[in-house]
Amino acid sequence: MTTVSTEPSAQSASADASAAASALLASNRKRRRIRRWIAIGTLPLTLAALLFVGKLLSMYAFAHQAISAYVVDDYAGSEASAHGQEFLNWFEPFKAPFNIGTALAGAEKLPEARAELEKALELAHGLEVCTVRINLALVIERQGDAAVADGDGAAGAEFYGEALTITSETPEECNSEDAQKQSSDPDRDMQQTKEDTEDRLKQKQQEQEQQQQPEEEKPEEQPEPQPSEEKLDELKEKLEQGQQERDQRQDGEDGGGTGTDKPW
Amino acid sequence: MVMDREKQRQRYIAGTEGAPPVPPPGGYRGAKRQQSAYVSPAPAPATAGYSAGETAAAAIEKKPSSVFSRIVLAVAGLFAGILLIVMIAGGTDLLYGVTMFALQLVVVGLVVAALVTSRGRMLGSIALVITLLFNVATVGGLSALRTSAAGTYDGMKSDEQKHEEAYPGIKDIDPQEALDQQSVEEVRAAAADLFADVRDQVTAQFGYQWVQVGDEDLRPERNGYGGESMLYEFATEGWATTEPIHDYATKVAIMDLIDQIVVDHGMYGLYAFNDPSESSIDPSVMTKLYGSDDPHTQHTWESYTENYPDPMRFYADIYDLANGDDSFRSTRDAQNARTGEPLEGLQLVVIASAVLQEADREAFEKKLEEYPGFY
Repeated sequence: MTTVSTEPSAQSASADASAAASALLASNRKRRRIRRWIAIGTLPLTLAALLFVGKLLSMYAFAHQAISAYVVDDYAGSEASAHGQEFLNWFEPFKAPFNIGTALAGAEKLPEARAELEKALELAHGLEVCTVRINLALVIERQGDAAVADGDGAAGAEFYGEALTITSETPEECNSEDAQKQSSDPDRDMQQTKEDTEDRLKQKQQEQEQQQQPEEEKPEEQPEPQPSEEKLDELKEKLEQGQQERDQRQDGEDGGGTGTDKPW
Repeated sequence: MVMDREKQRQRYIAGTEGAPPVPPPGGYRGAKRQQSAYVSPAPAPATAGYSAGETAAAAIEKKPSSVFSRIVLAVAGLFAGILLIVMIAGGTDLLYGVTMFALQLVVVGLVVAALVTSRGRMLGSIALVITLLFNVATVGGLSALRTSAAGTYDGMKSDEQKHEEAYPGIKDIDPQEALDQQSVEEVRAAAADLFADVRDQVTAQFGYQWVQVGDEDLRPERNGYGGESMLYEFATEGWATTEPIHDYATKVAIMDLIDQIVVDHGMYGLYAFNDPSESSIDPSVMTKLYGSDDPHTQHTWESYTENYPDPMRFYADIYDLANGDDSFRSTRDAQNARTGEPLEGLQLVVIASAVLQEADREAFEKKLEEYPGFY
């Protein structure tokens, strides 16, 4: 009886082990299948997360490259790096056109620079507009300088007027400490830069105006005896020299306190 | 069958004093994880696709991580360390450079290679985590933030650019002009004379008293080559009347008087930016700047002159709160808080650009010798 029952018992144990192994394999397959589907199901989320992280990290990289290239006068390189910021331009969207515009300004491509900075102004919010307005005004001022250098004083005066409009519309908040912290040029006081630009624009516009109609206005504003024709010529020459000097000075400030030297 | 059932029953009751019964072979229904652990203690990934016997064998013959994976882990750690050191040293440009990028690719390749080897998976995973946390993008981003906060964008300047950066003059302006024109000290003296005359005559004629506003300000001017020049933007201290001036005729008379005084001091006649009859500023801009395009209702009058070819620019402003709105009032309040100047009344200031201090003249000339014919 005992010997009869031993063989079926061994068979039964073997069958149990086999069944257990099969169950294990089946459960493992099931787990693998579940894992695979979880992986597939979360793939879009994973890709989105990777894209998000990649975008954030690339923002720093492109911005840094744009600035570094600008500092060493590599305006084409700066512009190319700034274009890298345009891809999925969701965060601080004004920075891409701002940096492109500033790089273009460095390369003296003024109309293109102006277009980009105007785009940046539309995208800027709050205190972001302060630094955009300063650079935009400087670019328009340079357009005026270029027009004057080409002998078109009327166009120059018009550009100076447009630039003056840009600075005069700068919000009062731009004079705050918070605005200064966001300045693209932390080594200079933003309010001072704005005031300097405004003063310079007024003077340039006035000079162009006086050159347009020098004989009509002088008698009214100067109570002293009427100057002779020779004196008027001398005055006019002085004014022209003054204009040239200021133009030179403005050019000299490319990279200077009132120049568009830093695209960030 | 009777015996088998008996044996099975014995399994559940034998030796169970004080202890729970052991699970049946194959485990309880639905308890798959416990079951597999019971049958095969080997790690789950290792059992996939193998029989129970094979997994048990694998568990018994657990091998150490490969030498390759250890090397990969060391390389990943070393590279992360190098990145952090470069970041601390302020080498953002180096971090974003081609060399670091190429090295990063090599590290990533090694980590991937370690991950696909059976005995390198564990250390490869650790190396992967290190690489994901510390790579050229993450550490470069941190370094870029540090550079941005410090404003130290030196870039990769050539020796020539570094030489230009130290230029003491200003780009496109003949440095001789700075030497020939009034110095800071001469501007200060000329402005003091001018202010004294204006104060005396305005007081004599209109009875206003004066107070000094703020201190003089010397701001270095940039040289246009990425550095600072030895020249300054110089603003004198200001002077302001202590009483407000609201009457239009008085304002006109004061500006006329100042106009005569500045001409006596060798400057051009005053030019009123705020006056539409002589200013070319657009009326809308004039309204933004001065509150109105009509001098009768403007909150600010701003007149200016200069003494070209010398650098002095003289400003005479009249602030009138009676013509201003709340915004103007708050602006003046802010200015008063900042400089202590009166809220309204006449104010005078002189500004001169690109001027040299007498004390710097010798050093300026000496420095210019390093830049023959350069500007």
